[in-house]
This record gives sequence, structure tokens and C-alpha cells, in this order.
Amino acid sequence: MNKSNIVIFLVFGLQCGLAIGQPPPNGEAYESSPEELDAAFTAEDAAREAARWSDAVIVRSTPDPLANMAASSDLVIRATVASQQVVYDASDMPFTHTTLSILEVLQGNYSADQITVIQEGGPAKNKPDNVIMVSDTHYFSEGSEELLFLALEPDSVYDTRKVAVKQRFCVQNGQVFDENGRGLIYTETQQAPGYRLEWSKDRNPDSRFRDFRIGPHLFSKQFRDEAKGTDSGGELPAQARRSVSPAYQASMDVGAFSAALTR
Amino acid sequence: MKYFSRGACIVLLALCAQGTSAYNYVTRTCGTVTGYNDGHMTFNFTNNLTAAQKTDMSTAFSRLTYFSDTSITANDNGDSNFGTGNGQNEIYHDTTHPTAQCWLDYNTSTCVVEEVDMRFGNQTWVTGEDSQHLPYLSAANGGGRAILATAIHEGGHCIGMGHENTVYNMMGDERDHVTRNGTITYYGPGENLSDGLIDRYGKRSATDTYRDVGVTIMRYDTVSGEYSSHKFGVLRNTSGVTLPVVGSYEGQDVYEVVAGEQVRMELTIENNGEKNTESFHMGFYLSTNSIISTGDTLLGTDNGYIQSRNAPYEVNETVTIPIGTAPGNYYLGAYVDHDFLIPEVTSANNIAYYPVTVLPPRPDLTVPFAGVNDTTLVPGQSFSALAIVRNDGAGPANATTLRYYRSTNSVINSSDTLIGTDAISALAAGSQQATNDPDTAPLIQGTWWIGACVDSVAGESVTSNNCSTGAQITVAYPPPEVTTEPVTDIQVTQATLHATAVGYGSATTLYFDWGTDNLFQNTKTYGSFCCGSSPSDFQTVLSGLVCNTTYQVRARVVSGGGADVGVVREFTTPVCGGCGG
Repeated sequence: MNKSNIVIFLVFGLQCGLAIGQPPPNGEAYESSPEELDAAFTAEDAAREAARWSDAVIVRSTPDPLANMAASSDLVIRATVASQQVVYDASDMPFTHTTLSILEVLQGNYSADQITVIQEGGPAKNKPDNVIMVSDTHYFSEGSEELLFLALEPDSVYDTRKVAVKQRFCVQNGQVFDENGRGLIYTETQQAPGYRLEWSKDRNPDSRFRDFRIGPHLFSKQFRDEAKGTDSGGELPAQARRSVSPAYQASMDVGAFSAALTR
Repeated sequence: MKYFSRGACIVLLALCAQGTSAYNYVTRTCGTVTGYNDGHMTFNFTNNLTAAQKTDMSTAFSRLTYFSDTSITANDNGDSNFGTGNGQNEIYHDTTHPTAQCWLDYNTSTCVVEEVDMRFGNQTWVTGEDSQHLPYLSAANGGGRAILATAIHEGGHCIGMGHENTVYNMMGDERDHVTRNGTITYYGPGENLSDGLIDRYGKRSATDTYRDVGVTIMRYDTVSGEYSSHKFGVLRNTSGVTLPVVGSYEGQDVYEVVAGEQVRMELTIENNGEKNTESFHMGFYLSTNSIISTGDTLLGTDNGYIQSRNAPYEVNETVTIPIGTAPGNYYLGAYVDHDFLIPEVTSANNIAYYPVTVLPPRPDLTVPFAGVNDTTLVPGQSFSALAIVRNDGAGPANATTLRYYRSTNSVINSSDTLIGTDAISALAAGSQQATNDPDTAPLIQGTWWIGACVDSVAGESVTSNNCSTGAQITVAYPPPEVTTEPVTDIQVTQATLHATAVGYGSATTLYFDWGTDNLFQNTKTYGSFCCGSSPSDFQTVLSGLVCNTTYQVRARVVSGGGADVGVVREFTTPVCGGCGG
């Protein structure tokens, strides 16, 4: 990209208070084309590039999603949401405290019966119609069964990090789903790591995966799901040729999840 | 501020039912869909952002809203009184939070978003676009999290989009939703997020003016909670086996390829723009530098791309490294819309490349033929083993040695009995050398296979095909031959029997069968002889005969190679004499 041009454009935009996100039609005009970049490549560039080649082979982590999730967590639990409480800080900002009753510790050491997750957001204190929503919030409902990967940082300066949700799965009738209702499909394979995880192509229609409350206010998640098929060109990877997509009913059960996690 | 009417929501949901991609957003049943100001938002840049950060964020918001009826406007008005709950939309650093977030104050009765703040938490944020794919790291910017990428992701949240975990997309892990030409990374909304924004808010123009296709080597990986995780694609051979990784280049694996080899590139293609379906061509290039352009060596094209805007399209593309490519380091690139058929808003995302180390073409020696000049041999017989050595590879082969083997089965390998060697000259690609080797059949009878293996040479691509199949030989003695010669010296009670016989190397026993009634019920054993291959004369005196009697006699030989019977000779003893005769 031609940096000088974009800087001029941005400076002009900033000074005028314009909507910066408005490229001109066919806006390649303010960037260098690959051909222009290539033509400008110098011997100095070539020397710099050559120095970046290394004989060292990067060790890629084993593509073992369960192991990777477990490695980045201190505690994996199955729990039910016992209660939720909104606590306001000195600035009247809401923080939702979700207390979970632990049914099972799948990994890690934790002796108490309950654990509390603190997340920013919740009903606004002085505006009963308003809620504070934060983009990385997980919405829990009392009574729901959860399967949580948690990071424990009791000394964190952030209340929201003392017990942080690293991964969240929902348990419904003993089966494991993501929080939007896709089933977690577990398939044993011959290739490392010996299994494959994927999401079901459809969603569990249970309302817990679609609706949630913030205080008294009901919200719904709207999903639009893929139905690819008109794209063409190139050679499709082998896995793309599978004609049968797993449905959410095939989602793995909690026992299988626990076994896979600790195998 | 505009909001969706209920009718608009119904239309939106009807579109949802068609289902073409995967994204989500939050709604509320208060008469309108959650507002987000119809996707048009104005923020203040606060005074704790650097100029470089504001530049990158502006680029991010521009890219995010290229194609949909959305906009994110940022006023650089030196806002110093910022924070959540002050009624102003602001973008700022907030070290009291650990990560980046979009914070919304939402009125559930009016469905109005009353305040939006985009907060960049207590992390190492880096600017600029000179970086490897992941982690965001270069000599210029050190390492950290690219604020440009995160601004697109959080901007997506601020105009209503949720996380997505089933496809390669920007609302998953934004750090590795990236492509790169040269050392310049490109983060954009990608197909899935663009599709979501267009479906939700409409296209930016009524004329499909804002168009964009892109390509990357990154692709969907696996489950990571509510986020998708992404990974590098790989280079494979045409059998699907990952090519050897021999090093790294700025976080990417360097693959070893051979001049003349066909390689399969994993690519992800995206239609990010307004046009619902794009038809375009892809060019594949080999470059001596990491900037892929049409000025590089064109390896091939795929002119068959037709891509709807829904979710990213993961494909493989097979190209051949030119046989004449000099050994060295190269960049194997894919260039979408390389022939400029589409007027795009950007071409910065049209390139993806794999760094490769090209080796010279490799030889591949084979022994496509091995045989003998005579398949039926007598023990110890001389014969010639024949073979052809051919270089089936694309590169020259050094001189080497051909080894002949005798095997007890048709599979020839170096554990068989070595019976001879021949020198093989250096062979150019596709050339061959015929050889023969004088050998001697075993001294015992039996069945064997004769074949040859050529010693592998430096750089040979395949060493499991260096042996021929075996040519069968049968080693056996031939059957002896005998001729019954005329009887001589016929007397009253005896005669001399004659035979000419040959044993052909095998110990042979000669018999004379005789009698008077053509039944040859009597046998006189001459004995054994050995072992020449030329006929010899044998004679023996048969006594105990009776006068004036006609006899039949025939010679018979038996050896390990078989048996033979000579013609019948008949003779009559003289008449009986007088007394004392």
C-alpha cells in the first residue's frame, strides 16, 4: 500500500471529521498494486528478505484441541448455574456475578462446592430500561448446566479475571453444545491426535441456545447458517466432499467428553 | 438514528431462512431489531490513542464498512473526558480491562443504543502492517496484538455482530484471519462478516460498485469455544502427503519442493464484496521475492472460479514447479483476479504465498527389465543375465553399479545371492543403459529367478523401485539318449550287445532288456557312466543263451534327467550242434 497516499487521505478525513470508512469507488487508487510493489523491490529488500530465511523448523503444537483447551485452563468443571447477582462498582457500572454449583471437576483441583464468575455488564443501575452489554460476555441462565474451562487468577487486578471463562460449552440432556446450540461432534480417527472435533451443521432448537436475559430483559440471538454449494473452482479438500453432515443429535455426551479430555 | 421496523425484521428473518453463511447477532422484541444506529456510528478518538493507532483504526473501520450500508466515523477531537457511561461514543485505551471490548448501553424499551465505547485493554498493541502472519511480529513493530485486526473485530461487535466459530472468519480469532503479500499483512472483514453486514444492513451501493475478492493460506482449524481458530494451510504432493518442511520464513513453514514436481496448495478464497456472485480467475506464480505479481513466472491459472458471497471457500490448487527452475529459495504464490477482471476496492488481499526451497530435479533409477538369454539350463551351464537400467526421474543420475541377483522367488532384493555386477554410466533424465553379465547356472537342479538392483544415487527421489522383477530359470539335466546297435559275435549261448549312449552330464545307468517274446523280461545291467555330452559306445557280452533261438534286445538308459529306450534289435543264435556239438 502506498503509505503516503493513505496518510494524506486519513489526515484529510480526520481533520474534516469525515467518515473515514468511505473508500472511493474502485478504491485501489490509493494503494500500490502488487505489480507496483514488485517493481519497487530493491536489492536491499532482497538482502533483508534473504536474511529472514531460517533452517530452523517451527515446532507446531499438536493439533489436539481438547489438550490445547485444557492446557490453557486451570480448572475444567461441569456445573449448574445456581444464582446470578448484579454488583455495581463505584461508577455504578454493573458486574454480573454468576455462581455455579459444581457437579464434577473434570480437570484441576478445586475443593469448594461453588465458584463465581464475574463479568462486566448487566442491568444499568439508574436506568431500569437500560442494560450494559459487553462483547466478550457469556450469558448464563439460572439452572442451566455448563461445562466450563476456567483460568484462575485470584491475584488478578481485574475482578473479571479472577475466575475467567476460557471456553464454555453447554450441557443439555447430557450432551455437549456450544452456547449457540451447535452440537460438539467427536469422531475418532487414525490421524493425530486420534480424534476430530467439529460442530454440527445445525443447531439444537432449545430456547436456551437462542434466548437469554439481562436482568428482566429478554434478548434473542439470530442465527444465519451456511448452506454453501454454489462456489466452484479449484479442487475441494477431501473433508469437504463428505455428503453427510453430522446433526446436533449426534453431539457427544458428557461422559465421552470427560473421557476424551483425560485420555 | 434509524432502526429496523418489524417488517424489516420479518424480511431479515426471511433472508435468514435461505441460509447462506454463518453469523449471528442479538435482537430484542421491542418493536425493532437492536439498533446499533442502523450500522452507522460516530465515535470520538480519545487523547490516549497514538496517531499511528488512530490511523490503523481508521483503516480498519474503512475496510469493515467497505461493502455494506454501514459506517464507522471517528472524529479526532482530542476527547480527554472519556469513559463508559458518559453518553459519548468513544474509542480509547482502558488499562482497567484486560482485553478489547465493545461496550454498549442499550435501551430495551426503545431498542436504542445510547452509548457505544470501543475499549482497547491492557495489552501490547502494535501498529503498522509490516509483520508476519502470526504472531504479529516484525523488526519494525516488535510483537503484540495488531490493533488494526482487533479494531475490525470489535467494530463488527459494535455494529451488532456476534462471535462465529464454524468457518474461517474475522469474528472468530481475528489475529489469524489474515493474508500477506511481501511483508505486508492485510486484515479485512472477510467474506463471512461482510456477508453478515450486507444481509443485515444492505449493500453500500445499488450497483455492486464495491467489490472485492481475496485469498489466503490461512484456513479454519477447529473448535475454540465461541471463536473459530485458524491455522496455516500446507503444501502437499499430489498424493496428499505434506511436503518436507525444511525451515521457516517469518513464521511460515518453508517447504522443500523439487523442480518438475507437482504440488498442491491449500488456499482459502473469499468474496467479500457487494456482488452476490463473482466469477474470476486465479493465477499461480513463482517469485524470487515475497511480493507476488504478474511480473513473476506464471505457473498456471484456474479460470473456473464462481463464488457466491456466503462463507469462505477452502480449496486446493495443483501447480507444477518448472523443471528448469534453478535451485534456491522462492515464493509460490496465488493471485486472485490476477487478470484484473474485477474492479476491486483493494488488491492488497489478492495474494497468498508459500515460501519454498526448490531442489534440482531428482533422478529416479529403475530396472524395468531383467532377463536371461536361456531360461532352461543344465547345472553349471553358462548363461547371460540381461538388464536395462533407466532413469525415470527428471534429473541426471550419477554413475553407479548394477548388481545381479539369484533369488528363490520372483522378488529381487539385495538379500538375494549376488551373482555379478556391471558398471552403469551417468544417465540423463529419461535415458537408459542395457547391460549383460556372464553367469553360470547352479550345479544342482532347481528353479531360480534372476534379477538386478541398481545402487541408488545421490538425490534420488524414489529408492524403493531400484530392483527388477525376477526372470525364471529352470536348471535341470536333459534326459539321456541311447541307441541300440546291432548285436555282434552271436554264438550258440552268447552274443555281444552294443549301444551308443550319452548322459548329458548326469550319472546314467545303461541297461539291456532282452527276451524272446518281445516282453523284455530279462535285464542285463551294464552299469553307470558319467558324464559327458557326447555319445559313447558300450558293449557287453550276454551269455546263457539257447541255440537256435531268436532274441530281442534293446538298450535303455536312466539318469536324473530322465530315461530313454533304444530300438529293438533281433538276433538268432546258431542252430544247435551234434553231440558234444
